[in-house]
Amino acid sequence: MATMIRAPRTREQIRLIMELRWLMFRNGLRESSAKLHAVAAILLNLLWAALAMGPGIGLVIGGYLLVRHNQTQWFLLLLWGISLFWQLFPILAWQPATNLDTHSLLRFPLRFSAFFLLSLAHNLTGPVELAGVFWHACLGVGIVSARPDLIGWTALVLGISVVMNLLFSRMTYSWLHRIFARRQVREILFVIVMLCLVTLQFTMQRWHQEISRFFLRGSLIWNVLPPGRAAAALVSVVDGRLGGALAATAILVLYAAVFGGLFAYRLRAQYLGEDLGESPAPAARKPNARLIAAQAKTAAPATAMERPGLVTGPVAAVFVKEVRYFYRNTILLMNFAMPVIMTVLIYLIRISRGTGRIFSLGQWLYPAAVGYVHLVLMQICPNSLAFDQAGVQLFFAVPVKFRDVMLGKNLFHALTIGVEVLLLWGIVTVFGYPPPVPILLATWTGVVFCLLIYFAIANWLSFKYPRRFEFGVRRQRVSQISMLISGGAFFAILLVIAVVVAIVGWLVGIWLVPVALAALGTVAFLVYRKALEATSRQAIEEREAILKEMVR
Amino acid sequence: MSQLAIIIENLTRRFGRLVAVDQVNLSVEGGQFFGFLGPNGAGKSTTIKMLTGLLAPSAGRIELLGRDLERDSIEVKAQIGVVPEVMPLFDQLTGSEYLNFVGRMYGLGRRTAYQRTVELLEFMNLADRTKTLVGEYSHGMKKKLALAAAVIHTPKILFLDEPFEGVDAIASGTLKAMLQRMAQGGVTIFLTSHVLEIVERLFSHVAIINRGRLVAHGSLDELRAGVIASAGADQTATSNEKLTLEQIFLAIVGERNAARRSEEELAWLR
Repeated sequence: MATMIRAPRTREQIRLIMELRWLMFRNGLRESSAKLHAVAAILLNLLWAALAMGPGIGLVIGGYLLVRHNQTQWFLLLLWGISLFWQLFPILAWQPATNLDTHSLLRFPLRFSAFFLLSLAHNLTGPVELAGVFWHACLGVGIVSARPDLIGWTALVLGISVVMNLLFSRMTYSWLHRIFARRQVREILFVIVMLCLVTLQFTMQRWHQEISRFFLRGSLIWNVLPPGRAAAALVSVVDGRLGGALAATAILVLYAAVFGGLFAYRLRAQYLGEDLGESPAPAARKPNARLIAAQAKTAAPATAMERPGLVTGPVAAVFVKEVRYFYRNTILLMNFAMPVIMTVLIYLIRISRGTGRIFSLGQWLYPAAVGYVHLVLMQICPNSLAFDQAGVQLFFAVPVKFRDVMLGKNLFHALTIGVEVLLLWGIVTVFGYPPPVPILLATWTGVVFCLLIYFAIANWLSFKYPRRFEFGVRRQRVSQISMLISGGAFFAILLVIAVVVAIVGWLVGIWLVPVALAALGTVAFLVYRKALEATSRQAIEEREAILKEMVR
Repeated sequence: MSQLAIIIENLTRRFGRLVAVDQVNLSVEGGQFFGFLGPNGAGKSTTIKMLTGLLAPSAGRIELLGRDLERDSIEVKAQIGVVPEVMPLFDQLTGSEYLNFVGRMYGLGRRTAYQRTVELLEFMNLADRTKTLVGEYSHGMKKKLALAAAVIHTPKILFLDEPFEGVDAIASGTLKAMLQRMAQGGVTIFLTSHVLEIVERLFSHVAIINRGRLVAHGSLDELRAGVIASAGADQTATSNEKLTLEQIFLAIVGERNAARRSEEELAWLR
């Protein structure tokens, strides 16, 4: 009889997993493209570190000065700033993070404690989280520089704040993942989001002052929530009020415990093999041919796009498929909603400050919001095959040139941007601050120029550096090179537009800017068309790399 | 249909130093039920990928239905169907949405795509799962759906890589029924499978690939005769009984039989 072997202890299991990750990374470097990715990752991380350094230095100086000048009430603002960045930045902007497929670990006799700690530890390696930890440390350094005797308490409070933030973000994502796992919920959410977006502008116009007052001036809210308690604990520590410090820290610990408990509860279900699948039991009834026919008709409704003369059947088919993937993907839906919500918030803030009509600089808020729309909604374009996964084989197997596939995808992305741009225009108009006609036209022509150039680059990147994404999962690993190139391209396009606006607007007048951008858009169209034609050849050239990444 | 549907000349595929497929020459007549067999890692899937345009050959030439695959890839692809090893499914579409999508991608009109979707789902016993996302299908259901998608455009050649792998008897029966119906209609079926009983029952011709090289090719009777001839006089007793495909396969591939392994090996497993 074979000898029974005991499962290794938690620490040993974590060490083994770390070793496994290292081996995977090291073996991955055997390919030259992986080395290129590693270099790009280092460059990006250096850039990120440089960006994080500025606020970090500010926090050191701020922490020091606030303690020295006894202005500790401002800790509230600093800790809220860090927490909001930690929790919201991954939602509002691109998410340069890695994801760990913890489910693959469950085949081993992994202890729950190891599973829990690994999930937490892995999340801590993301750039946003690292920046959050770094800024907490910077604040601590500032406080301790002014009052070295507070080192123990400061480390304790800030340490708990870090843990609380980490647990909160993990808890939120794990529960959202659970809630949105069901297609029905996702589709209901889509309808709700669309309804909200449409009605938001009207409701906000009616009650915007009350709402903004509630959120922006209600100091109680900011104090009782976790960052407020962390700040209160620090203030009490600096003031020497041990009781207050203990009470605030205890509440902070309680928050962390609740978040940790909720996260552990969710994780426990995953640990026990929870399947978030939603397959219903097969119906006992006989197949209903009429029902299927009806569903098939719904599946591919007759649209103007399908009529000859506009686009071919395969282009329309890809377009329809992209629409379906869009409204079933919570992440894409959230990306769609976020620019509208942010624009409304910005307008509310301006209104709550009593600036009255938006002054001259405010007329550029619409173009700025549209720029943000591009940044958020076009994240997926440089990796547009990501969600197709193994289905991408079909594109190589069917008698269709890849230019048609990419055209279908580009048309869909252009539609989402177009809808969003119009929605934002509706919002700013309803708020009573429509941009002047030349700026509006300049924005729209700029959008066309930007889209065409960006699509040309993004299509190339989609073939060159593809990455498979799991459907509906946030913060997935994208190609670092692709991120560098697409980010650089985006800002270069914005720079070109800014230069055109500055030069033409200054030399001739703002009215000529739309004309200049339309001329650029025409050139961009020719570039895009040429690039689109080249995609068929490029897809064949890159076919093996694409299939290797997507078909797993 | 007796014209050659598939002509493969000196087909080679290298992955770095590894030669996965080594100068394979093969021809398959139109309307044949053709089994492409070989042990794991022999080069079967690599060959199918090259035959369907999913992988570029390092050398050699592929002609399907009289057309060069590389030169006329679009025209050729319109005439073939494929179910690769990893099924080309879109997990976030429902079964009917997926079949409609594939139909449109093959250039079918909207109405035709609907009709065929309905009929295929009925035939594959998937009609009660039209609202379920493909990602939620069982493995067998996915196989059936992938096969339905591969035939929606009425291909003249069908390439299938392990269609019976992980499929239960009921689903397997449906797949076989579909394949038999197509073969009766003159479609050439080129299939890899480890389930030799099915191959033996359904297929008229077989090729065996081992370590990238084609080691046998012909009808089952031809292969059987070849094995008996190469076994020599001491095997005459065996020759009197009809050799099964498994016996032919093992004789040709010549791998060591697991049952005959030394008792001392992996003693710790007992």
